[in-house]
Amino acid sequence: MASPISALDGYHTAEHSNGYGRELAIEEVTGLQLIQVAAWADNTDSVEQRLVAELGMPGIPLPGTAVQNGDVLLARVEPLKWWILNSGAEISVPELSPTEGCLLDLSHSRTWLAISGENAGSLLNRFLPIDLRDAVFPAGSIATTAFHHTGVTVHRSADGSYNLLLLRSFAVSLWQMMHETALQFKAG
Amino acid sequence: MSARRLPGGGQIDRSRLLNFKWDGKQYQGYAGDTLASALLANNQQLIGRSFKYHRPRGIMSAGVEESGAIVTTGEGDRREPNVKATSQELYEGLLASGQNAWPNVRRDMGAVSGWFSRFFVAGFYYKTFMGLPPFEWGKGTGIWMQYEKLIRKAAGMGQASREPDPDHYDHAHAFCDVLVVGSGPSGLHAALTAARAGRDVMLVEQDFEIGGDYLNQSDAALISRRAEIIAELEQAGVRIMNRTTAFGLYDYGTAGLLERVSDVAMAANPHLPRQRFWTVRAGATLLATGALERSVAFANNDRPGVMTAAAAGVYLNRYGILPGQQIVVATNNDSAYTVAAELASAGASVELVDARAAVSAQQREVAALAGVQTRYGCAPLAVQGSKTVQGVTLANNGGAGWQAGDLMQCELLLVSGGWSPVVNLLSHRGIKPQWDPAQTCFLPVESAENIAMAGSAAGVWNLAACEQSGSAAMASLLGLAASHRSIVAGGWDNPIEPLYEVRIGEQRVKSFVDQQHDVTSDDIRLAHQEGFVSVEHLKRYTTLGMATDQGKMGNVIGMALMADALGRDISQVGTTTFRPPYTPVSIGALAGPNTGAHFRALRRTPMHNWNLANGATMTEAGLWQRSWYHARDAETISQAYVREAETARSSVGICDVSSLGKIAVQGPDASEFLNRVYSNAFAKLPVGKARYGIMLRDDGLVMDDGTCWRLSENDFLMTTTTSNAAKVMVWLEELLQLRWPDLKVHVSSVTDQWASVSVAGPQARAMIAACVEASTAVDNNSLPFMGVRAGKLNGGIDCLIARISFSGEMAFEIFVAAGFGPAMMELLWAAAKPLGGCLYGLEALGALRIEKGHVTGAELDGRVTIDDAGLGKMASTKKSYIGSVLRQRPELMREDRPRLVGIFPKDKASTFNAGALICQPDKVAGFGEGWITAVTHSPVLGHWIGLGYVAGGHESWAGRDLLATDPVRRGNVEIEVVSPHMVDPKGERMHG
Repeated sequence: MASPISALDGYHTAEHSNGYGRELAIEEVTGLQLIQVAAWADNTDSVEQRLVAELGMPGIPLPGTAVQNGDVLLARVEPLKWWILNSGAEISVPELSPTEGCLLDLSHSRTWLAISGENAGSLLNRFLPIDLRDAVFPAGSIATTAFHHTGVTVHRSADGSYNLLLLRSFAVSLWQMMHETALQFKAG
Repeated sequence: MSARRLPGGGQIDRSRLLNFKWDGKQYQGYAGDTLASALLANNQQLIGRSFKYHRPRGIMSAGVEESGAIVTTGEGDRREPNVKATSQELYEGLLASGQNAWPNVRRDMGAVSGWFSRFFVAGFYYKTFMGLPPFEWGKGTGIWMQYEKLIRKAAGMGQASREPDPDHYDHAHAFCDVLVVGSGPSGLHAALTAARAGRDVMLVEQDFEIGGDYLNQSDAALISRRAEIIAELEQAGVRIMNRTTAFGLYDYGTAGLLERVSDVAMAANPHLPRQRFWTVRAGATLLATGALERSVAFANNDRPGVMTAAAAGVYLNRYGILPGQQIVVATNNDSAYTVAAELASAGASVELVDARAAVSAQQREVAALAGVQTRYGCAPLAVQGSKTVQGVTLANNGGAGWQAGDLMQCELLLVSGGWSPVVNLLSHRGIKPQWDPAQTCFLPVESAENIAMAGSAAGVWNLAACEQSGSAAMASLLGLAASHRSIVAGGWDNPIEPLYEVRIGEQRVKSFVDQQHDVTSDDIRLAHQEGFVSVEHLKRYTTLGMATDQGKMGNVIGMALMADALGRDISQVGTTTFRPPYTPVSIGALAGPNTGAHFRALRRTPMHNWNLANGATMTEAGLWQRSWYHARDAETISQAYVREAETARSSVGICDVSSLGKIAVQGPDASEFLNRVYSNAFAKLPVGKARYGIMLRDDGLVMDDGTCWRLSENDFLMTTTTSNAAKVMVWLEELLQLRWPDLKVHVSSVTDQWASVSVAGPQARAMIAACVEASTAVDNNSLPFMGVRAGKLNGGIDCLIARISFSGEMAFEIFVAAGFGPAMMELLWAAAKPLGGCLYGLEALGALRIEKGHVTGAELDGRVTIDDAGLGKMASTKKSYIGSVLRQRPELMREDRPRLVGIFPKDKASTFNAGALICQPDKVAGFGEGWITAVTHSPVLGHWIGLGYVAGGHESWAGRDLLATDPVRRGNVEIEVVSPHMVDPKGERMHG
């Protein structure tokens, strides 16, 4: 069985991950499982409750937030859509009948970067025009925003670090920009 | 002038000597100096030459309002012109030189222009546009085209480097509860008030030191207070940014900041940007931007050795420099008294002349105690000296106007004509400041937004009151308990005497209003005489307060003189609009990191690296990087694409088509939705089949084309052209949200989810058969023309295979999840090579589709109907769909509309260009009969061919001669128009 190849293959390396000083690390999360769940206007509550129950989530993901169970995140990304984001072993997702909604595998459509350290927010705000201050974008927040005129999704982890989901086709270009800017945080 | 560094005092770091070069000579200064203070400490007086008359200029101020010491720094690709020496921080190795002068500022040949200055009055160049009288009256500006070059060479500022900028620049976003602009006494206290109230505060300061006017004080207690406040702010987590200018205020609390990051510390971290452009969004903004001291218009008020009184105080107290030994201070207000006393205490001989008839005993005592001699009721009339100040002739106010008085010997003339609050940022919000006759300045008025002003920016003139003003304004802005007494404008013991110009009678002298643009008081009067009665017109005619100055220094004097000429009050004349940026912002900072390869975010297909490793030369297709051709050995692009197209027709070719737009259309109403979107029928498309579709706009013109694959009862995969993917996606969303919200359909872009290739050629099926697992049959029964199936490539890679052709060959499209794209290519390429197959790129793809007559973005350009494109028979007559009514407008149904045609050259050895017009030989004019959209060499036909549109289609021109006219590039080429289906018109190859 062939293995999938990351969009950053040959670009982002382990050396890069920690090459920006002690207060900044950029790591790629590989093996992303991303399933989009879409419901209809008349059954969002029931679909949401099913998702929460079957994925073992601690609560309902309000707009702009994600809930988490282990490696699995459930985020409300649009009024009628959720994303199941999984960085661990592949999971099975709830089946939906056509009258309930539809599922869509987007696992290969995004490149997932985990950005951590004291300077993570500063680095992201070199590009993202949204307020990432703790009080405004606390752990569990998720938003779709713009990075050099392309749509990206940013999520705040429980430990305060960030997850950034880039469209795969733009990933190298945006990573290069982020890498070049991240170097300024390297002391000396 | 005999400026010198004092042995002690100032805020500079005397333990750190810094070397710098001025006009090629080596000098030294200290850390904490500006270039201006270091030059002054080295007794350099003549620093610049003026914009128009090339008059000698020295240091006039100590800040961003400088109009004299404007220099060029750096060299080569780092040369930067028009730098104000007064705000340029000194650093080791700084290179600076004079500008707008030849051979140098001390001996400038351009100074001869001063001899002709009576011809170079306000608006002189506008008049030259009218032609040189009497030779060109009524004939335009022929001679202007010649002497424009001379004028441009003689006038202006420094010259920018022509080399690429070697530095990089940064963009950043920030958010805060409160933005405080300015870190003087009011700004620091405002920030402190907000921080103590628990607000998230940003404090920005354009200077390299925090403290504003605290830095200019001789009182040690005030210096300590500054340090204590900064420490408390840091402790409270206030983000303090020095070297950062708030250059503009915009909607909804947005401020533009320019941070100078590494101009000084370039070597510390090579990855640091030179400058950073900040977009800050603040809940509230407090402007503590200070005030600028004005000059007064009198003869030769621009000579080196004339500066503002406050500037001398700055050089003395902040930089430890005594700027002159024999000093005259001319004032009309109280503020200059302290400076005069401090200078005298530092060892200078100081005389103070006050335009006011008398001041309070207390004020007189300030001067007397320091040994400053005072005169009242007099003002400077004219400076004596050509390149330096030799003395000043005074004018006495005799009650009926000014009268010439004594000549006072001096080497430094300090002038204080009053203070102008820096209201520029508030003006950016469209708020006009109001004239306050008591303070003789424009004061800010209340803003409806969360913006307030404090300190001297609000007309508060003493330091203690400024501190209180900052606290009070912030408390009010944040709605805190009214524990802070609001402070009103004013604060001097004695009222200011309005003083804008000193002249006797109608004498004509060079007295400057706006030194940066060489605008004189006579220019203001001339503009009035020539009918310019609005301040906005005055500004543009005279250039008063334009460009980098933005009215900082000259505006009030100009308004006063205009008001005088009009016989009105200044309040009736008003002021011009100060526009962003407050100080210049480099183009590099505006561009930020978005240059070169990062100008736009580039899109790479999943097989990008694989393509490169296999000989691809890339080209841009919108944002996408696509394989253009795969040259072998030393092939040219033409040789490569012809070979590739020939191979696809004779064997098999593989092309990365991942950039095609892909949209998942899901839901129980998906087929109904597609049936309404596409002009042809989709309601009964069976599962496992694909259909080519054309979608129209509301106006009946073609929007896009592509295929749609039915993967299951409720799942479709739509493909779009590369260029229209986003447009179609947004269109579908709009239709679902606004027109048909009742349909249970979801659309989602899956362009990035899939890697896709086109495999075309008579060997395509055989090649694919070698790459799929046994369970995935691709024979004609299992996968007929327009069939779709899911399967597995060898190695267990899930795939979708559709039998679709845009090349006219037996062709398939194979989709795999993007991460498996390279693995798919390895499989396919390994199978293609034994068959003599090839990889082909965009150029060959184009050749194949042109031969076949298949339309793409070049043909579907937004002006074309489905009939024009030759696809009208596809449009359903039995259903309603987007565009179905308006496509039947008479104009769109005309028989003589341009129709898609194929194009051959008459002489098969000749070629023609895309974009050429198609004309009749005897009517090469206008838009002709049509145009050419795409061209290629046809490997099948062995000559050049094209696609295009011709009125009435090819049938109307059978046997008739036409020309491809391309007057700019190629001239005329004889052509004939043919059916657009130039290869295999019956589709036998395609259906296999």
